[in-house]
Amino acid sequence: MPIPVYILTTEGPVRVQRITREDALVHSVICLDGRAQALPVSAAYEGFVRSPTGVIERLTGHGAYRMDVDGQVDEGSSWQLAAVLAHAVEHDTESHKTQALFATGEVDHDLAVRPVLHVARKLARLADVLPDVIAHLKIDPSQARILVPVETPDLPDDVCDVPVLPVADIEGALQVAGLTFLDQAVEQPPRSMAPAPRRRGLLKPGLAVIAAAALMFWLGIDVARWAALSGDGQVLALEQELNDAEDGRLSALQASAYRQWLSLQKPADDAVRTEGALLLADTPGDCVMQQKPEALR
Amino acid sequence: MADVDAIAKLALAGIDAEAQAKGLLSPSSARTRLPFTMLHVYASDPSFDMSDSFRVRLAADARAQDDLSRLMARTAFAYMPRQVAAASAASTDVVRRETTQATITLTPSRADDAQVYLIITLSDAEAKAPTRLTLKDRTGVFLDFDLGPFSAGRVQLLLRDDNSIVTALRDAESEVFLR
Repeated sequence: MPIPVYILTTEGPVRVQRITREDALVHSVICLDGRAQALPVSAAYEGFVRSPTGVIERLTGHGAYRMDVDGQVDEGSSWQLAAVLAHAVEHDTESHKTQALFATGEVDHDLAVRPVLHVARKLARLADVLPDVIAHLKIDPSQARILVPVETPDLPDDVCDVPVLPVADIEGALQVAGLTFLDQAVEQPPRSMAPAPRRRGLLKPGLAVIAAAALMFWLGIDVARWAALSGDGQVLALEQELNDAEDGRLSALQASAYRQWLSLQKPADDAVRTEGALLLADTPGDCVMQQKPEALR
Repeated sequence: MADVDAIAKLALAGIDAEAQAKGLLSPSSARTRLPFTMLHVYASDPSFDMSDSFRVRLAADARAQDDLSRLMARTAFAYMPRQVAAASAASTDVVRRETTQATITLTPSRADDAQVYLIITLSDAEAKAPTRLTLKDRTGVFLDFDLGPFSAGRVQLLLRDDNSIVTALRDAESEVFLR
């Protein structure tokens, strides 16, 4: 590991020795000290790695890893923050802003860091061995970081001069750890990572369609009624309705539009022709005389 | 064995008695034959462990080995006979054996060349999972390996590359029984 990463446990810090990409057929495992011995926590690690439930595959694009550690790790979930940091360190071959990382915290699906139990005890056990660890690693304590969930109460400022930094999410954890490789993945999660924004994105056009449909339905009622009056030839009633509608703002637009539509339905000037012959009578009596035989027939 | 009824026990005892009678009347070499009852119990009960003497006698009795193979092929959850030469492809790193009931793969660890993942996947994840992997290697030796609990029809074990089970699985001449 380019930067030593330690999982804080109640039995003392456990160092992540290495992370190896395994064949995709393999389920991810946590092994003890390079031996062919998968720890019981391996099943939880597989769930934490493999997408869609896991987060590591989303961040790294690979879904099968072997993590070797130098001590026992319990089957809880407080190893997850250190695991993410270890994966980030393994992938970040350039950033070496810190010299060692110690972490405890649960990481949820949205990459938020959740509180865990026994942080004070873990820090106390760390304090027991930290001077030796610092001496062994030959690092400057101020260049190391202890990361814990932000909601942890009564946090000290430092342990053996190593700053204790509360973090709320993975983005913040990577920032304080001086890591950059996973930043893009954290800031721009794939759609599967951010269901809430995606739902909001779908909600807007959905609401717009519903609103448009409601408006059309509301407008359609009046228009349908006016069309019925027009079809029945009830011109006076139609005119009265349109006049009433013109008193309102929205309905005035509606009535105006309907009038425009009616105007388009009006026959053209040359669409009606009158055909016949012009007959002129010399006297009014001639008319009567000429019509009678027709009327009598 | 708990589920062997009285009639079956009587029948098996009769077979043994006959074998013993034959043994008494036969040359000494034939007296080393294993009692059929033992073979049957071993084949039927995955939790039954062979004693060392049983194992030694079995290794020296080719006929008993064949009998046991045939018995286990019938009683096992899955039986994978010897592979044909083309299928064995011993040069590849990943070993794969497959039947309609299960698939067995050996996948080398990229973290350590000396370690390998043994993965067994059941075709029916709801099926009652086998508890033991038994191999009959090319010399007729039967090797037993206890499997861990299956999860969703799958179990994965990390083994050393020189494990006898791994060696036998890599050999196309080996017969495999999941039981």
